[in-house]
Amino acid sequence: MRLPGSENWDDALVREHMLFLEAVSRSIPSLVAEIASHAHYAEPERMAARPNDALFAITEAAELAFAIGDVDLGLEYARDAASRLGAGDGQIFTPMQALLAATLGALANSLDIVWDGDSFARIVRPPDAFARTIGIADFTGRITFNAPSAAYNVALMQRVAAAQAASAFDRRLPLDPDVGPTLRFGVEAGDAEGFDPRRRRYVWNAFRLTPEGQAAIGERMPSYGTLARIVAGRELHFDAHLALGDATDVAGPHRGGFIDWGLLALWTGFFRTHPLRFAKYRAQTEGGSFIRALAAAIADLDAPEPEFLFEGSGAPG
Amino acid sequence: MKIHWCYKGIAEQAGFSDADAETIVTRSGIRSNWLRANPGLAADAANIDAQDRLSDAALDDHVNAYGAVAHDTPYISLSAGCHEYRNPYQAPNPITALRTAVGFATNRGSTSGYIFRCWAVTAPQPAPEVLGVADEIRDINLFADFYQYHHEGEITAKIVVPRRHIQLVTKIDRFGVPIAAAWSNGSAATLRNAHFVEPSTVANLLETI
Repeated sequence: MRLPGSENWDDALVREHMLFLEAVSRSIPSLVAEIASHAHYAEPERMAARPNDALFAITEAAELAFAIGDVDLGLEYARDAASRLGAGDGQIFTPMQALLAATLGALANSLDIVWDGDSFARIVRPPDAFARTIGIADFTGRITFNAPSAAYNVALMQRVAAAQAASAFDRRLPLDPDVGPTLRFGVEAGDAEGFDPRRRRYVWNAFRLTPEGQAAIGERMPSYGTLARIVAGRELHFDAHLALGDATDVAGPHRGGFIDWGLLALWTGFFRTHPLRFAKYRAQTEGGSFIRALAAAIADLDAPEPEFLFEGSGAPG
Repeated sequence: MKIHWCYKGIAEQAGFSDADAETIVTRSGIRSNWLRANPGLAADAANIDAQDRLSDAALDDHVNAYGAVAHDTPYISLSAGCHEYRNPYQAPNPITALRTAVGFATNRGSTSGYIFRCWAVTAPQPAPEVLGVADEIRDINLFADFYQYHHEGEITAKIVVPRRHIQLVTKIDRFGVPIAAAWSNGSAATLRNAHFVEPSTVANLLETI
Protein backbone atom coordinates (compact mmCIF):
# COMPACT_ATOMS: atom_id res chain seq x y z
CA MET A 1 0.00 0.00 0.00
CA ARG A 2 1.83 3.07 -1.27
CA LEU A 3 0.76 6.51 -2.28
CA PRO A 4 0.03 6.36 -6.02
CA GLY A 5 2.91 8.00 -7.83
CA SER A 6 5.44 7.18 -5.13
CA GLU A 7 6.58 3.95 -6.73
CA ASN A 8 9.83 5.50 -7.95
CA TRP A 9 10.74 7.07 -4.66
CA ASP A 10 14.04 6.08 -3.18
CA ASP A 11 12.81 4.85 0.18
CA ALA A 12 16.24 5.17 1.75
CA LEU A 13 16.19 8.88 0.93
CA VAL A 14 12.63 9.17 2.14
CA ARG A 15 13.52 7.58 5.47
CA GLU A 16 16.54 9.85 5.72
CA HIS A 17 14.27 12.82 5.16
CA MET A 18 11.83 11.56 7.78
CA LEU A 19 14.66 11.45 10.30
CA PHE A 20 15.62 15.00 9.36
CA LEU A 21 12.03 16.16 9.83
CA GLU A 22 11.79 14.38 13.17
CA ALA A 23 15.06 15.97 14.30
CA VAL A 24 13.89 19.42 13.20
CA SER A 25 10.57 19.00 14.96
CA ARG A 26 12.45 18.35 18.21
CA SER A 27 15.14 21.00 17.82
CA ILE A 28 13.04 23.89 16.55
CA PRO A 29 11.55 24.86 19.94
CA SER A 30 15.01 25.21 21.46
CA LEU A 31 16.28 27.00 18.37
CA VAL A 32 13.35 29.42 18.42
CA ALA A 33 13.91 30.04 22.12
CA GLU A 34 17.61 30.64 21.52
CA ILE A 35 17.03 33.08 18.68
CA ALA A 36 14.09 34.81 20.38
CA SER A 37 16.14 35.47 23.49
CA HIS A 38 18.60 37.43 21.34
CA ALA A 39 16.11 38.99 18.96
CA HIS A 40 14.98 42.06 20.81
CA TYR A 41 12.89 43.33 17.93
CA ALA A 42 10.65 40.27 17.95
CA GLU A 43 9.33 39.38 21.34
CA PRO A 44 9.73 35.71 22.27
CA GLU A 45 5.97 35.37 22.69
CA ARG A 46 5.39 36.54 19.13
CA MET A 47 7.90 34.11 17.74
CA ALA A 48 6.42 31.23 19.72
CA ALA A 49 2.99 31.91 18.26
CA ARG A 50 4.17 31.60 14.69
CA PRO A 51 3.90 28.43 12.62
CA ASN A 52 6.29 26.14 14.33
CA ASP A 53 7.92 23.03 13.00
CA ALA A 54 7.49 21.31 16.32
CA LEU A 55 4.18 20.36 14.74
CA PHE A 56 4.51 20.74 10.99
CA ALA A 57 7.77 18.88 10.47
CA ILE A 58 6.58 15.85 12.42
CA THR A 59 3.32 15.97 10.47
CA GLU A 60 5.26 15.77 7.23
CA ALA A 61 7.24 12.86 8.61
CA ALA A 62 3.94 11.08 9.28
CA GLU A 63 2.84 11.82 5.73
CA LEU A 64 5.98 10.30 4.30
CA ALA A 65 5.68 7.20 6.47
CA PHE A 66 2.08 6.66 5.37
CA ALA A 67 3.03 7.37 1.76
CA ILE A 68 5.56 4.54 1.69
CA GLY A 69 3.19 2.20 3.49
CA ASP A 70 4.83 2.18 6.91
CA VAL A 71 1.60 2.56 8.86
CA ASP A 72 3.10 1.82 12.27
CA LEU A 73 5.76 4.49 11.86
CA GLY A 74 3.17 6.93 10.54
CA LEU A 75 1.02 6.37 13.61
CA GLU A 76 4.06 6.78 15.82
CA TYR A 77 4.71 10.17 14.23
CA ALA A 78 1.00 10.99 14.51
CA ARG A 79 1.05 10.28 18.24
CA ASP A 80 4.17 12.38 18.48
CA ALA A 81 2.43 15.28 16.71
CA ALA A 82 -0.55 15.06 19.06
CA SER A 83 1.71 14.96 22.07
CA ARG A 84 2.95 18.45 21.14
CA LEU A 85 -0.40 19.79 22.37
CA GLY A 86 0.75 19.11 25.89
CA ALA A 87 4.46 19.50 25.46
CA GLY A 88 4.67 22.56 27.70
CA ASP A 89 7.58 24.04 25.76
CA GLY A 90 5.97 27.41 25.23
CA GLN A 91 4.40 26.42 21.96
CA ILE A 92 1.26 28.39 21.26
CA PHE A 93 -1.13 26.69 18.87
CA THR A 94 -3.59 28.52 16.71
CA PRO A 95 -6.99 26.76 16.50
CA MET A 96 -6.03 25.36 13.09
CA GLN A 97 -2.74 24.04 14.38
CA ALA A 98 -4.45 22.49 17.38
CA LEU A 99 -6.89 20.82 15.03
CA LEU A 100 -4.11 19.44 12.88
CA ALA A 101 -2.47 17.94 15.95
CA ALA A 102 -5.84 16.69 17.12
CA THR A 103 -6.57 15.07 13.77
CA LEU A 104 -3.34 13.13 13.95
CA GLY A 105 -4.04 12.28 17.57
CA ALA A 106 -7.48 11.04 16.64
CA LEU A 107 -6.02 8.84 13.93
CA ALA A 108 -3.57 7.40 16.45
CA ASN A 109 -6.21 7.06 19.15
CA SER A 110 -4.36 9.28 21.56
CA LEU A 111 -6.82 12.15 21.53
CA ASP A 112 -10.53 12.47 21.24
CA ILE A 113 -12.73 15.19 19.86
CA VAL A 114 -16.32 15.23 20.98
CA TRP A 115 -19.42 17.15 20.17
CA ASP A 116 -21.16 18.28 23.28
CA GLY A 117 -24.11 20.31 24.36
CA ASP A 118 -22.31 23.45 25.46
CA SER A 119 -19.66 24.08 22.88
CA PHE A 120 -19.25 22.94 19.34
CA ALA A 121 -16.44 20.52 19.96
CA ARG A 122 -13.66 19.90 22.39
CA ILE A 123 -10.34 18.18 22.15
CA VAL A 124 -9.85 16.01 25.18
CA ARG A 125 -7.78 13.03 26.01
CA PRO A 126 -9.36 9.66 26.51
CA PRO A 127 -10.11 8.58 30.05
CA ASP A 128 -7.26 6.84 31.77
CA ALA A 129 -9.30 3.66 31.91
CA PHE A 130 -8.82 3.39 28.20
CA ALA A 131 -5.08 3.45 28.61
CA ARG A 132 -4.87 4.91 25.17
CA THR A 133 -3.11 8.03 26.27
CA ILE A 134 0.31 7.84 24.79
CA GLY A 135 2.71 10.68 25.30
CA ILE A 136 0.16 13.23 26.39
CA ALA A 137 0.09 12.61 30.11
CA ASP A 138 0.61 16.29 30.77
CA PHE A 139 -2.22 17.39 28.57
CA THR A 140 -4.89 18.13 31.12
CA GLY A 141 -6.57 21.06 29.46
CA ARG A 142 -9.29 21.05 26.90
CA ILE A 143 -9.38 23.05 23.76
CA THR A 144 -12.89 24.19 23.07
CA PHE A 145 -14.30 25.39 19.79
CA ASN A 146 -17.52 27.32 19.88
CA ALA A 147 -19.85 27.77 16.99
CA PRO A 148 -20.88 29.90 15.27
CA SER A 149 -18.78 32.56 16.90
CA ALA A 150 -15.39 30.96 16.30
CA ALA A 151 -13.02 32.57 13.87
CA TYR A 152 -12.90 31.27 10.30
CA ASN A 153 -15.88 29.08 10.92
CA VAL A 154 -16.39 26.99 7.85
CA ALA A 155 -12.77 25.97 7.38
CA LEU A 156 -12.41 25.34 11.08
CA MET A 157 -15.56 23.31 11.41
CA GLN A 158 -14.77 21.15 8.42
CA ARG A 159 -11.59 20.14 10.14
CA VAL A 160 -13.31 19.65 13.45
CA ALA A 161 -15.75 17.28 11.80
CA ALA A 162 -13.03 15.23 10.15
CA ALA A 163 -10.92 15.01 13.28
CA GLN A 164 -13.91 14.16 15.37
CA ALA A 165 -15.05 11.42 13.01
CA ALA A 166 -11.75 9.60 13.35
CA SER A 167 -11.81 9.92 17.10
CA ALA A 168 -14.99 7.92 17.42
CA PHE A 169 -13.02 4.89 18.40
CA ASP A 170 -15.52 3.45 20.75
CA ARG A 171 -18.97 4.91 20.65
CA ARG A 172 -20.33 2.81 23.49
CA LEU A 173 -18.30 4.30 26.28
CA PRO A 174 -18.66 7.68 27.90
CA LEU A 175 -15.60 9.76 27.32
CA ASP A 176 -15.26 11.87 30.38
CA PRO A 177 -17.82 12.43 33.10
CA ASP A 178 -17.04 16.13 33.13
CA VAL A 179 -17.94 16.55 29.52
CA GLY A 180 -21.50 15.49 30.08
CA PRO A 181 -23.61 13.91 27.40
CA THR A 182 -21.49 13.55 24.34
CA LEU A 183 -22.39 12.90 20.77
CA ARG A 184 -19.53 11.02 19.30
CA PHE A 185 -20.16 11.15 15.62
CA GLY A 186 -21.20 13.99 13.41
CA VAL A 187 -24.05 12.11 11.85
CA GLU A 188 -25.62 11.37 15.17
CA ALA A 189 -24.88 14.90 16.30
CA GLY A 190 -26.62 16.32 13.30
CA ASP A 191 -29.72 14.29 13.87
CA ALA A 192 -29.85 14.47 17.63
CA GLU A 193 -32.96 15.85 19.24
CA GLY A 194 -32.46 19.39 20.29
CA PHE A 195 -29.29 19.85 18.30
CA ASP A 196 -28.97 23.53 17.57
CA PRO A 197 -29.95 24.08 13.91
CA ARG A 198 -27.09 26.50 13.48
CA ARG A 199 -24.73 23.82 14.59
CA ARG A 200 -26.38 21.32 12.27
CA ARG A 201 -25.49 23.64 9.43
CA TYR A 202 -21.83 23.35 10.33
CA VAL A 203 -21.96 19.62 10.69
CA TRP A 204 -23.64 19.22 7.36
CA ASN A 205 -21.37 21.65 5.61
CA ALA A 206 -18.38 19.98 7.16
CA PHE A 207 -19.32 16.73 5.54
CA ARG A 208 -20.25 18.22 2.21
CA LEU A 209 -16.63 19.23 1.82
CA THR A 210 -17.18 20.79 -1.55
CA PRO A 211 -16.21 24.21 -2.80
CA GLU A 212 -19.90 24.98 -2.76
CA GLY A 213 -20.04 23.92 0.86
CA GLN A 214 -22.45 26.52 2.05
CA ALA A 215 -25.41 25.08 0.22
CA ALA A 216 -28.95 24.97 1.47
CA ILE A 217 -29.37 22.88 4.55
CA GLY A 218 -31.84 20.07 4.77
CA GLU A 219 -33.87 19.28 7.82
CA ARG A 220 -31.89 16.20 8.59
CA MET A 221 -28.40 14.90 8.07
CA PRO A 222 -27.83 12.74 5.01
CA SER A 223 -27.93 8.99 5.21
CA TYR A 224 -24.72 7.03 5.60
CA GLY A 225 -24.90 6.14 1.94
CA THR A 226 -25.22 9.74 0.87
CA LEU A 227 -22.44 10.65 3.24
CA ALA A 228 -20.14 8.02 1.78
CA ARG A 229 -20.87 9.20 -1.76
CA ILE A 230 -20.21 12.80 -0.80
CA VAL A 231 -16.90 11.93 0.75
CA ALA A 232 -16.05 9.71 -2.20
CA GLY A 233 -16.47 12.79 -4.37
CA ARG A 234 -13.63 14.32 -2.48
CA GLU A 235 -11.49 11.36 -3.49
CA LEU A 236 -11.76 12.43 -7.10
CA HIS A 237 -10.07 15.70 -6.26
CA PHE A 238 -7.48 13.92 -4.15
CA ASP A 239 -6.76 11.53 -7.00
CA ALA A 240 -6.58 14.35 -9.54
CA HIS A 241 -4.17 16.15 -7.29
CA LEU A 242 -1.98 13.06 -7.15
CA ALA A 243 -2.24 12.54 -10.88
CA LEU A 244 -0.87 16.02 -11.47
CA GLY A 245 2.27 14.62 -9.98
CA ASP A 246 3.47 17.79 -8.33
CA ALA A 247 4.03 15.99 -5.07
CA THR A 248 5.02 12.58 -6.26
CA ASP A 249 7.21 12.80 -9.31
CA VAL A 250 10.49 13.15 -7.52
CA ALA A 251 12.73 10.51 -6.04
CA GLY A 252 12.82 12.04 -2.61
CA PRO A 253 10.07 14.50 -1.74
CA HIS A 254 11.18 17.45 0.33
CA ARG A 255 7.80 18.88 1.09
CA GLY A 256 4.57 17.53 2.40
CA GLY A 257 0.95 18.27 1.84
CA PHE A 258 0.14 15.23 -0.23
CA ILE A 259 -1.95 13.36 2.33
CA ASP A 260 -5.46 14.74 2.67
CA TRP A 261 -5.74 14.45 6.43
CA GLY A 262 -9.42 15.29 6.48
CA LEU A 263 -10.25 12.61 3.95
CA LEU A 264 -8.13 10.07 5.77
CA ALA A 265 -9.76 10.98 9.08
CA LEU A 266 -13.25 10.64 7.67
CA TRP A 267 -12.64 7.19 6.23
CA THR A 268 -10.88 6.09 9.38
CA GLY A 269 -13.88 7.26 11.34
CA PHE A 270 -16.26 5.46 9.04
CA PHE A 271 -14.31 2.22 9.31
CA ARG A 272 -14.06 2.51 13.05
CA THR A 273 -17.77 2.92 13.47
CA HIS A 274 -19.58 1.13 10.66
CA PRO A 275 -17.00 -0.71 8.59
CA LEU A 276 -19.37 -2.90 6.68
CA ARG A 277 -21.90 -0.19 6.12
CA PHE A 278 -19.31 2.02 4.48
CA ALA A 279 -17.31 -0.71 2.80
CA LYS A 280 -19.94 -1.32 0.19
CA TYR A 281 -19.32 2.09 -1.37
CA ARG A 282 -16.34 1.29 -3.47
CA ALA A 283 -13.43 3.49 -4.40
CA GLN A 284 -13.29 4.49 -8.03
CA THR A 285 -9.76 5.82 -8.20
CA GLU A 286 -6.24 4.86 -7.22
CA GLY A 287 -6.09 7.75 -4.83
CA GLY A 288 -9.37 6.71 -3.26
CA SER A 289 -8.22 3.12 -2.95
CA PHE A 290 -5.03 4.22 -1.27
CA ILE A 291 -6.71 6.48 1.23
CA ARG A 292 -9.29 3.81 2.11
CA ALA A 293 -6.67 1.09 2.46
CA LEU A 294 -4.67 3.36 4.71
CA ALA A 295 -7.75 4.22 6.73
CA ALA A 296 -8.60 0.54 7.05
CA ALA A 297 -5.09 -0.22 8.26
CA ILE A 298 -5.24 2.62 10.78
CA ALA A 299 -8.63 1.43 11.95
CA ASP A 300 -7.05 -1.99 12.29
CA LEU A 301 -9.90 -3.22 10.23
CA ASP A 302 -10.03 -6.93 9.97
CA ALA A 303 -12.33 -6.83 7.02
CA PRO A 304 -13.84 -10.19 6.16
CA GLU A 305 -13.67 -9.33 2.50
CA PRO A 306 -10.95 -6.78 2.08
CA GLU A 307 -11.19 -6.90 -1.68
CA PHE A 308 -14.69 -5.58 -1.24
CA LEU A 309 -13.23 -2.22 -0.29
CA PHE A 310 -11.36 -1.60 -3.46
CA GLU A 311 -12.02 -1.89 -7.11
CA GLY A 312 -11.29 -0.08 -10.31
CA SER A 313 -7.57 0.04 -10.75
CA GLY A 314 -7.06 -2.81 -8.36
CA ALA A 315 -6.41 -3.19 -4.70
CA PRO A 316 -3.25 -1.60 -3.39
CA GLY A 317 -0.50 -4.07 -2.77
CA MET B 1 7.84 48.43 0.02
CA LYS B 2 7.69 45.61 2.50
CA ILE B 3 10.22 44.62 5.11
CA HIS B 4 10.75 40.91 5.72
CA TRP B 5 12.49 39.09 8.48
CA CYS B 6 14.43 36.27 6.84
CA TYR B 7 16.71 33.40 7.71
CA LYS B 8 19.77 32.23 5.83
CA GLY B 9 21.36 28.85 6.50
CA ILE B 10 24.98 28.15 5.61
CA ALA B 11 26.64 24.81 6.30
CA GLU B 12 29.91 24.53 8.21
CA GLN B 13 32.49 23.18 5.80
CA ALA B 14 36.04 23.54 4.69
CA GLY B 15 36.33 27.24 4.02
CA PHE B 16 33.40 28.25 6.17
CA SER B 17 33.95 28.10 9.91
CA ASP B 18 32.92 29.98 13.03
CA ALA B 19 35.35 32.76 12.10
CA ASP B 20 33.80 33.13 8.66
CA ALA B 21 30.30 33.28 10.15
CA GLU B 22 31.48 35.96 12.54
CA THR B 23 33.04 37.92 9.68
CA ILE B 24 29.65 38.00 7.94
CA VAL B 25 28.01 39.52 11.01
CA THR B 26 30.74 41.94 11.98
CA ARG B 27 32.32 42.93 8.67
CA SER B 28 31.23 41.78 5.26
CA GLY B 29 27.53 41.01 5.42
CA ILE B 30 26.26 38.09 3.36
CA ARG B 31 27.99 38.40 0.01
CA SER B 32 26.63 37.04 -3.23
CA ASN B 33 28.70 34.47 -5.06
CA TRP B 34 29.40 37.09 -7.71
CA LEU B 35 30.97 39.33 -5.09
CA ARG B 36 33.00 36.47 -3.66
CA ALA B 37 34.14 35.44 -7.13
CA ASN B 38 35.44 38.95 -7.85
CA PRO B 39 37.41 39.84 -4.75
CA GLY B 40 39.91 42.10 -6.40
CA LEU B 41 37.59 44.20 -8.51
CA ALA B 42 38.08 47.93 -8.06
CA ALA B 43 35.13 49.68 -6.48
CA ASP B 44 34.23 51.64 -9.61
CA ALA B 45 34.36 48.56 -11.80
CA ALA B 46 32.44 46.51 -9.24
CA ASN B 47 29.74 49.14 -9.08
CA ILE B 48 29.23 49.00 -12.83
CA ASP B 49 29.59 45.26 -13.23
CA ALA B 50 27.29 44.44 -10.34
CA GLN B 51 24.47 46.48 -11.79
CA ASP B 52 25.04 44.98 -15.21
CA ARG B 53 24.60 41.51 -13.79
CA LEU B 54 21.06 42.10 -12.50
CA SER B 55 18.35 41.12 -14.95
CA ASP B 56 15.17 39.10 -15.44
CA ALA B 57 17.16 36.29 -16.99
CA ALA B 58 19.77 36.27 -14.24
CA LEU B 59 17.10 36.05 -11.57
CA ASP B 60 15.37 33.28 -13.47
CA ASP B 61 18.64 31.38 -13.66
CA HIS B 62 19.28 31.90 -9.96
CA VAL B 63 15.89 30.53 -8.94
CA ASN B 64 15.21 27.89 -11.57
CA ALA B 65 18.70 26.77 -12.60
CA TYR B 66 20.90 27.57 -9.65
CA GLY B 67 23.43 24.87 -10.44
CA ALA B 68 24.31 26.54 -13.70
CA VAL B 69 25.02 29.96 -12.19
CA ALA B 70 25.99 29.12 -8.62
CA HIS B 71 29.63 30.15 -9.10
CA ASP B 72 28.89 33.82 -9.70
CA THR B 73 25.21 34.59 -9.25
CA PRO B 74 24.67 38.16 -8.06
CA TYR B 75 21.61 37.11 -6.05
CA ILE B 76 21.40 35.75 -2.50
CA SER B 77 18.69 33.36 -1.42
CA LEU B 78 17.03 34.03 1.92
CA SER B 79 13.92 32.36 3.29
CA ALA B 80 10.87 33.95 4.83
CA GLY B 81 8.81 30.73 4.80
CA CYS B 82 5.65 30.04 2.85
CA HIS B 83 2.38 28.20 2.67
CA GLU B 84 2.21 25.56 -0.04
CA TYR B 85 -1.23 25.32 -1.61
CA ARG B 86 -2.25 21.85 -2.71
CA ASN B 87 -5.89 21.54 -3.54
CA PRO B 88 -9.24 22.95 -2.43
CA TYR B 89 -9.69 20.39 0.32
CA GLN B 90 -6.34 20.54 2.04
CA ALA B 91 -5.22 23.35 4.26
CA PRO B 92 -2.14 25.03 2.85
CA ASN B 93 0.97 23.33 4.13
CA PRO B 94 3.22 25.71 6.06
CA ILE B 95 6.95 25.39 5.54
CA THR B 96 8.72 27.69 7.94
CA ALA B 97 11.71 29.80 7.09
CA LEU B 98 13.57 28.33 10.00
CA ARG B 99 13.07 24.76 8.77
CA THR B 100 14.30 25.70 5.32
CA ALA B 101 17.30 27.48 6.79
CA VAL B 102 18.11 24.52 9.05
CA GLY B 103 17.91 22.27 6.00
CA PHE B 104 20.49 24.38 4.14
CA ALA B 105 22.65 24.91 7.22
CA THR B 106 22.90 21.20 7.96
CA ASN B 107 22.73 19.80 4.44
CA ARG B 108 19.57 18.11 5.64
CA GLY B 109 20.93 16.65 8.81
CA SER B 110 24.45 15.79 7.79
CA THR B 111 26.61 18.62 9.18
CA SER B 112 26.64 21.49 11.64
CA GLY B 113 25.98 24.99 10.35
CA TYR B 114 24.88 28.54 10.92
CA ILE B 115 21.54 30.34 10.94
CA PHE B 116 21.58 34.06 10.18
CA ARG B 117 18.60 36.27 11.02
CA CYS B 118 18.34 39.37 8.89
CA TRP B 119 15.86 41.69 7.25
CA ALA B 120 15.34 42.69 3.66
CA VAL B 121 13.24 45.35 1.94
CA THR B 122 11.27 43.93 -0.97
CA ALA B 123 9.64 45.65 -3.89
CA PRO B 124 5.86 45.26 -4.28
CA GLN B 125 6.41 44.29 -7.92
CA PRO B 126 9.08 42.27 -9.71
CA ALA B 127 12.28 44.30 -9.74
CA PRO B 128 15.11 41.92 -10.61
CA GLU B 129 17.28 44.69 -12.09
CA VAL B 130 16.88 47.15 -9.24
CA LEU B 131 19.75 47.23 -6.81
CA GLY B 132 18.73 48.09 -3.27
CA VAL B 133 15.53 46.10 -3.00
CA ALA B 134 15.03 42.36 -2.72
CA ASP B 135 12.45 40.35 -4.65
CA GLU B 136 9.74 38.33 -2.94
CA ILE B 137 10.10 35.21 -5.04
CA ARG B 138 7.76 33.28 -2.77
CA ASP B 139 4.85 35.44 -3.95
CA ILE B 140 3.65 33.52 -6.98
CA ASN B 141 1.29 36.33 -7.81
CA LEU B 142 4.45 38.24 -8.70
CA PHE B 143 6.72 35.42 -9.84
CA ALA B 144 4.37 32.87 -11.35
CA ASP B 145 7.16 31.10 -13.26
CA PHE B 146 9.22 30.52 -10.14
CA TYR B 147 7.07 27.85 -8.56
CA GLN B 148 9.39 24.86 -8.63
CA TYR B 149 11.11 25.82 -5.40
CA HIS B 150 8.22 27.77 -3.95
CA HIS B 151 8.39 25.65 -0.82
CA GLU B 152 11.68 27.35 0.08
CA GLY B 153 9.82 30.63 0.71
CA GLU B 154 12.52 32.58 -1.03
CA ILE B 155 13.33 36.25 -0.70
CA THR B 156 16.14 37.11 -3.10
CA ALA B 157 18.57 39.81 -2.10
CA LYS B 158 21.08 41.34 -4.47
CA ILE B 159 24.88 41.58 -4.39
CA VAL B 160 25.10 41.75 -0.59
CA VAL B 161 22.95 41.62 2.54
CA PRO B 162 24.51 44.48 4.51
CA ARG B 163 25.80 43.58 7.93
CA ARG B 164 23.58 46.27 9.47
CA HIS B 165 20.63 44.08 8.40
CA ILE B 166 21.96 40.98 10.13
CA GLN B 167 20.76 40.69 13.69
CA LEU B 168 22.50 37.52 14.79
CA VAL B 169 23.98 34.19 13.87
CA THR B 170 23.31 30.95 15.74
CA LYS B 171 25.43 27.84 15.37
CA ILE B 172 23.52 24.55 15.28
CA ASP B 173 24.46 20.91 15.21
CA ARG B 174 23.30 18.62 12.43
CA PHE B 175 19.96 18.12 14.17
CA GLY B 176 19.27 21.86 14.44
CA VAL B 177 20.08 22.16 18.14
CA PRO B 178 21.99 25.31 19.15
CA ILE B 179 25.59 24.51 20.11
CA ALA B 180 28.57 26.42 21.41
CA ALA B 181 30.73 28.20 18.86
CA ALA B 182 34.15 29.77 18.95
CA TRP B 183 33.27 33.45 18.57
CA SER B 184 35.95 35.99 19.34
CA ASN B 185 34.00 37.18 22.37
CA GLY B 186 32.90 33.87 23.82
CA SER B 187 31.45 30.47 23.15
CA ALA B 188 27.68 31.01 23.24
CA ALA B 189 25.60 29.50 20.46
CA THR B 190 24.43 32.91 19.29
CA LEU B 191 26.51 35.90 18.29
CA ARG B 192 24.57 39.15 18.27
CA ASN B 193 25.55 41.94 15.94
CA ALA B 194 26.38 44.98 18.06
CA HIS B 195 25.93 47.24 15.04
CA PHE B 196 22.62 45.83 13.90
CA VAL B 197 20.05 48.42 12.84
CA GLU B 198 16.41 47.68 13.52
CA PRO B 199 14.17 47.36 10.46
CA SER B 200 11.80 49.82 12.10
CA THR B 201 14.32 52.42 10.97
CA VAL B 202 13.01 52.12 7.43
CA ALA B 203 9.35 51.50 8.29
CA ASN B 204 6.80 54.10 7.27
CA LEU B 205 5.20 54.61 10.69
CA LEU B 206 6.51 57.94 11.87
CA GLU B 207 6.58 59.40 15.35
CA THR B 208 5.47 62.93 16.07
CA ILE B 209 7.97 65.71 16.24
